[in-house]
Amino acid sequence: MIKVEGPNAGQTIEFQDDIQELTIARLNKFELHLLQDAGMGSTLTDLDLRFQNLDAFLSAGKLAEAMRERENSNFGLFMLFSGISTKGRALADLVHSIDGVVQTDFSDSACILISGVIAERVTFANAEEIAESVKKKLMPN
Amino acid sequence: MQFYSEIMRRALLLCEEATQDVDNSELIAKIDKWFLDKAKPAIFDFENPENTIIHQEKQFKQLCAALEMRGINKPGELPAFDFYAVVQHLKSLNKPNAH
Repeated sequence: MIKVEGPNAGQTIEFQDDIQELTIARLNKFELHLLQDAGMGSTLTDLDLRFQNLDAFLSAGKLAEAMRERENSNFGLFMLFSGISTKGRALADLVHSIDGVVQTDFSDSACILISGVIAERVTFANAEEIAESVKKKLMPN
Repeated sequence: MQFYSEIMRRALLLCEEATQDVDNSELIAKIDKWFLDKAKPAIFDFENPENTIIHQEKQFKQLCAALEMRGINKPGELPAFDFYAVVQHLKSLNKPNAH
Protein backbone atom coordinates (compact mmCIF):
# COMPACT_ATOMS: atom_id res chain seq x y z
CA MET A 1 0.00 0.00 0.00
CA ILE A 2 1.29 3.46 -0.89
CA LYS A 3 0.38 6.12 1.68
CA VAL A 4 0.43 9.80 0.71
CA GLU A 5 0.08 12.55 3.31
CA GLY A 6 -2.09 15.54 2.35
CA PRO A 7 -1.10 19.20 2.86
CA ASN A 8 -3.15 19.43 6.09
CA ALA A 9 -2.58 17.40 9.25
CA GLY A 10 -4.36 14.05 9.28
CA GLN A 11 -5.05 14.00 5.54
CA THR A 12 -4.04 10.72 3.99
CA ILE A 13 -4.73 8.81 0.80
CA GLU A 14 -3.82 5.13 0.56
CA PHE A 15 -3.30 3.57 -2.89
CA GLN A 16 -3.63 -0.18 -3.36
CA ASP A 17 -0.59 -1.52 -5.18
CA ASP A 18 -0.79 -5.16 -4.09
CA ILE A 19 -1.68 -7.54 -6.92
CA GLN A 20 -2.98 -10.03 -4.31
CA GLU A 21 -5.53 -7.48 -3.05
CA LEU A 22 -6.56 -5.28 -6.00
CA THR A 23 -9.44 -6.79 -7.97
CA ILE A 24 -8.95 -7.42 -11.69
CA ALA A 25 -11.94 -5.16 -12.49
CA ARG A 26 -10.23 -2.20 -10.79
CA LEU A 27 -6.87 -3.01 -12.38
CA ASN A 28 -8.61 -3.16 -15.77
CA LYS A 29 -10.15 0.28 -15.17
CA PHE A 30 -6.74 1.60 -14.11
CA GLU A 31 -5.23 0.30 -17.36
CA LEU A 32 -8.00 1.86 -19.47
CA HIS A 33 -7.54 5.23 -17.76
CA LEU A 34 -3.77 4.95 -18.30
CA LEU A 35 -4.48 4.32 -21.97
CA GLN A 36 -6.44 7.59 -22.08
CA ASP A 37 -3.59 9.32 -20.25
CA ALA A 38 -1.03 8.03 -22.76
CA GLY A 39 -3.17 8.58 -25.85
CA MET A 40 -4.79 11.96 -25.16
CA GLY A 41 -3.51 13.23 -21.80
CA SER A 42 -4.63 16.35 -20.01
CA THR A 43 -1.61 18.61 -19.56
CA LEU A 44 0.29 21.05 -21.77
CA THR A 45 3.18 18.57 -21.86
CA ASP A 46 0.79 15.88 -23.12
CA LEU A 47 -0.51 18.26 -25.80
CA ASP A 48 3.04 19.08 -26.86
CA LEU A 49 3.67 15.35 -27.31
CA ARG A 50 0.48 15.04 -29.41
CA PHE A 51 1.70 17.86 -31.69
CA GLN A 52 5.16 16.26 -31.99
CA ASN A 53 3.51 12.99 -33.05
CA LEU A 54 1.24 14.90 -35.43
CA ASP A 55 4.28 16.53 -37.09
CA ALA A 56 6.04 13.15 -37.33
CA PHE A 57 3.02 11.51 -38.99
CA LEU A 58 2.60 14.44 -41.40
CA SER A 59 6.26 14.38 -42.45
CA ALA A 60 6.02 10.61 -43.00
CA GLY A 61 2.92 11.09 -45.14
CA LYS A 62 0.79 9.05 -42.72
CA LEU A 63 -2.33 11.18 -43.03
CA ALA A 64 -4.83 8.83 -41.34
CA GLU A 65 -2.60 8.62 -38.26
CA ALA A 66 -2.05 12.40 -38.33
CA MET A 67 -5.81 13.01 -38.39
CA ARG A 68 -6.28 10.61 -35.46
CA GLU A 69 -3.54 12.35 -33.50
CA ARG A 70 -5.17 15.72 -34.20
CA GLU A 71 -8.48 14.35 -32.96
CA ASN A 72 -6.76 13.05 -29.80
CA SER A 73 -5.14 16.43 -29.22
CA ASN A 74 -8.66 17.92 -29.29
CA PHE A 75 -9.73 15.47 -26.59
CA GLY A 76 -6.60 16.36 -24.60
CA LEU A 77 -7.38 20.06 -24.96
CA PHE A 78 -10.93 19.43 -23.74
CA MET A 79 -9.54 17.56 -20.70
CA LEU A 80 -7.09 20.37 -19.99
CA PHE A 81 -9.75 23.10 -20.12
CA SER A 82 -12.22 21.00 -18.14
CA GLY A 83 -9.64 20.50 -15.39
CA ILE A 84 -9.88 16.71 -15.71
CA SER A 85 -6.60 14.94 -15.00
CA THR A 86 -6.33 11.67 -16.92
CA LYS A 87 -3.56 10.53 -14.58
CA GLY A 88 -5.73 11.46 -11.57
CA ARG A 89 -8.59 9.39 -13.02
CA ALA A 90 -6.25 6.41 -13.29
CA LEU A 91 -4.96 6.82 -9.75
CA ALA A 92 -8.53 7.15 -8.44
CA ASP A 93 -9.09 3.51 -9.46
CA LEU A 94 -6.40 2.47 -6.98
CA VAL A 95 -7.54 4.47 -3.95
CA HIS A 96 -8.02 2.20 -0.96
CA SER A 97 -8.86 4.84 1.63
CA ILE A 98 -9.15 8.59 2.08
CA ASP A 99 -8.46 9.94 5.59
CA GLY A 100 -8.84 6.41 6.93
CA VAL A 101 -12.25 5.83 5.30
CA VAL A 102 -12.06 2.73 3.09
CA GLN A 103 -13.52 3.26 -0.41
CA THR A 104 -16.25 0.87 -1.47
CA ASP A 105 -17.75 2.79 -4.40
CA PHE A 106 -15.72 2.25 -7.57
CA SER A 107 -18.26 3.66 -10.03
CA ASP A 108 -17.23 6.22 -12.67
CA SER A 109 -18.91 9.08 -10.80
CA ALA A 110 -17.08 8.15 -7.57
CA CYS A 111 -13.86 7.96 -9.57
CA ILE A 112 -14.37 11.55 -10.79
CA LEU A 113 -14.94 12.77 -7.22
CA ILE A 114 -11.89 10.90 -5.93
CA SER A 115 -9.71 12.23 -8.74
CA GLY A 116 -10.69 15.73 -7.56
CA VAL A 117 -9.42 14.91 -4.05
CA ILE A 118 -6.19 13.53 -5.56
CA ALA A 119 -5.70 16.71 -7.60
CA GLU A 120 -6.05 18.82 -4.43
CA ARG A 121 -3.65 16.78 -2.35
CA VAL A 122 -1.13 15.04 -4.58
CA THR A 123 1.40 17.02 -6.60
CA PHE A 124 1.73 16.29 -10.30
CA ALA A 125 5.27 14.89 -9.86
CA ASN A 126 4.10 12.66 -7.01
CA ALA A 127 1.14 11.40 -9.06
CA GLU A 128 3.51 10.52 -11.94
CA GLU A 129 5.77 8.67 -9.51
CA ILE A 130 2.89 6.69 -7.95
CA ALA A 131 1.45 5.75 -11.36
CA GLU A 132 4.85 4.58 -12.63
CA SER A 133 5.62 2.54 -9.52
CA VAL A 134 2.16 0.92 -9.54
CA LYS A 135 2.43 0.17 -13.26
CA LYS A 136 5.72 -1.66 -12.72
CA LYS A 137 4.31 -3.62 -9.81
CA LEU A 138 0.86 -4.49 -11.13
CA MET A 139 1.10 -4.97 -14.86
CA PRO A 140 1.61 -8.60 -15.87
CA ASN A 141 4.66 -9.44 -17.99
CA MET B 1 9.56 -7.23 -26.82
CA GLN B 2 11.23 -5.82 -29.94
CA PHE B 3 9.84 -2.44 -28.89
CA TYR B 4 11.98 -2.44 -25.73
CA SER B 5 15.08 -3.75 -27.50
CA GLU B 6 14.77 -0.93 -30.07
CA ILE B 7 14.45 1.66 -27.29
CA MET B 8 17.57 0.17 -25.68
CA ARG B 9 19.45 0.15 -29.01
CA ARG B 10 18.53 3.80 -29.65
CA ALA B 11 19.67 4.81 -26.14
CA LEU B 12 22.99 2.99 -26.61
CA LEU B 13 23.58 4.68 -29.97
CA LEU B 14 22.94 8.09 -28.36
CA CYS B 15 25.34 7.23 -25.50
CA GLU B 16 27.96 6.15 -28.04
CA GLU B 17 27.58 9.48 -29.86
CA ALA B 18 27.92 11.39 -26.61
CA THR B 19 31.04 9.57 -25.45
CA GLN B 20 32.85 8.77 -28.70
CA ASP B 21 33.54 10.59 -31.93
CA VAL B 22 30.96 8.67 -34.00
CA ASP B 23 27.93 9.64 -36.05
CA ASN B 24 24.98 7.30 -35.48
CA SER B 25 22.36 9.64 -36.93
CA GLU B 26 21.52 7.32 -39.83
CA LEU B 27 20.99 4.32 -37.54
CA ILE B 28 18.95 6.43 -35.10
CA ALA B 29 16.80 7.74 -37.97
CA LYS B 30 16.17 4.13 -39.07
CA ILE B 31 15.00 3.20 -35.55
CA ASP B 32 12.79 6.32 -35.40
CA LYS B 33 11.24 5.31 -38.72
CA TRP B 34 10.60 1.80 -37.33
CA PHE B 35 8.77 3.34 -34.34
CA LEU B 36 6.75 5.60 -36.60
CA ASP B 37 5.72 2.66 -38.78
CA LYS B 38 4.51 0.77 -35.70
CA ALA B 39 2.78 3.78 -34.12
CA LYS B 40 -0.97 3.75 -34.30
CA PRO B 41 -2.80 6.40 -32.26
CA ALA B 42 -5.61 5.06 -30.08
CA ILE B 43 -9.20 5.92 -31.03
CA PHE B 44 -11.12 7.78 -28.32
CA ASP B 45 -14.06 9.00 -30.40
CA PHE B 46 -17.11 7.24 -28.88
CA GLU B 47 -18.94 7.42 -32.20
CA ASN B 48 -16.19 5.40 -33.86
CA PRO B 49 -17.00 1.66 -33.77
CA GLU B 50 -13.27 0.93 -33.36
CA ASN B 51 -13.01 2.98 -30.13
CA THR B 52 -9.97 1.59 -28.30
CA ILE B 53 -11.45 1.86 -24.80
CA ILE B 54 -14.72 0.14 -25.76
CA HIS B 55 -12.78 -2.55 -27.64
CA GLN B 56 -10.57 -3.27 -24.59
CA GLU B 57 -13.54 -3.21 -22.23
CA LYS B 58 -15.43 -5.66 -24.44
CA GLN B 59 -12.43 -7.99 -24.51
CA PHE B 60 -12.25 -7.94 -20.70
CA LYS B 61 -16.00 -8.61 -20.34
CA GLN B 62 -15.77 -11.45 -22.87
CA LEU B 63 -12.90 -13.00 -20.92
CA CYS B 64 -14.92 -12.70 -17.69
CA ALA B 65 -17.95 -14.29 -19.39
CA ALA B 66 -15.78 -17.17 -20.64
CA LEU B 67 -14.46 -17.74 -17.11
CA GLU B 68 -18.01 -17.67 -15.68
CA MET B 69 -19.00 -20.35 -18.19
CA ARG B 70 -16.18 -22.46 -16.74
CA GLY B 71 -17.60 -22.08 -13.23
CA ILE B 72 -15.58 -19.13 -11.91
CA ASN B 73 -17.96 -17.01 -9.83
CA LYS B 74 -17.72 -13.22 -10.38
CA PRO B 75 -14.27 -13.33 -12.02
CA GLY B 76 -14.09 -9.51 -12.07
CA GLU B 77 -14.01 -9.53 -8.27
CA LEU B 78 -10.98 -11.83 -8.12
CA PRO B 79 -7.68 -10.30 -7.01
CA ALA B 80 -5.59 -9.60 -10.14
CA PHE B 81 -3.02 -12.23 -9.13
CA ASP B 82 -5.69 -14.97 -8.79
CA PHE B 83 -7.35 -13.91 -12.06
CA TYR B 84 -4.11 -14.23 -14.04
CA ALA B 85 -3.34 -17.56 -12.33
CA VAL B 86 -6.78 -18.94 -13.35
CA VAL B 87 -6.43 -17.69 -16.95
CA GLN B 88 -2.94 -19.20 -17.19
CA HIS B 89 -4.20 -22.51 -15.77
CA LEU B 90 -7.12 -22.68 -18.23
CA LYS B 91 -4.79 -21.79 -21.12
CA SER B 92 -2.48 -24.66 -20.16
CA LEU B 93 -5.48 -27.06 -20.07
CA ASN B 94 -6.44 -25.97 -23.58
CA LYS B 95 -3.04 -26.87 -25.03
CA PRO B 96 -3.31 -30.00 -27.23
CA ASN B 97 -0.76 -32.00 -25.19
CA ALA B 98 -2.27 -31.06 -21.81
CA HIS B 99 -4.16 -34.35 -21.40
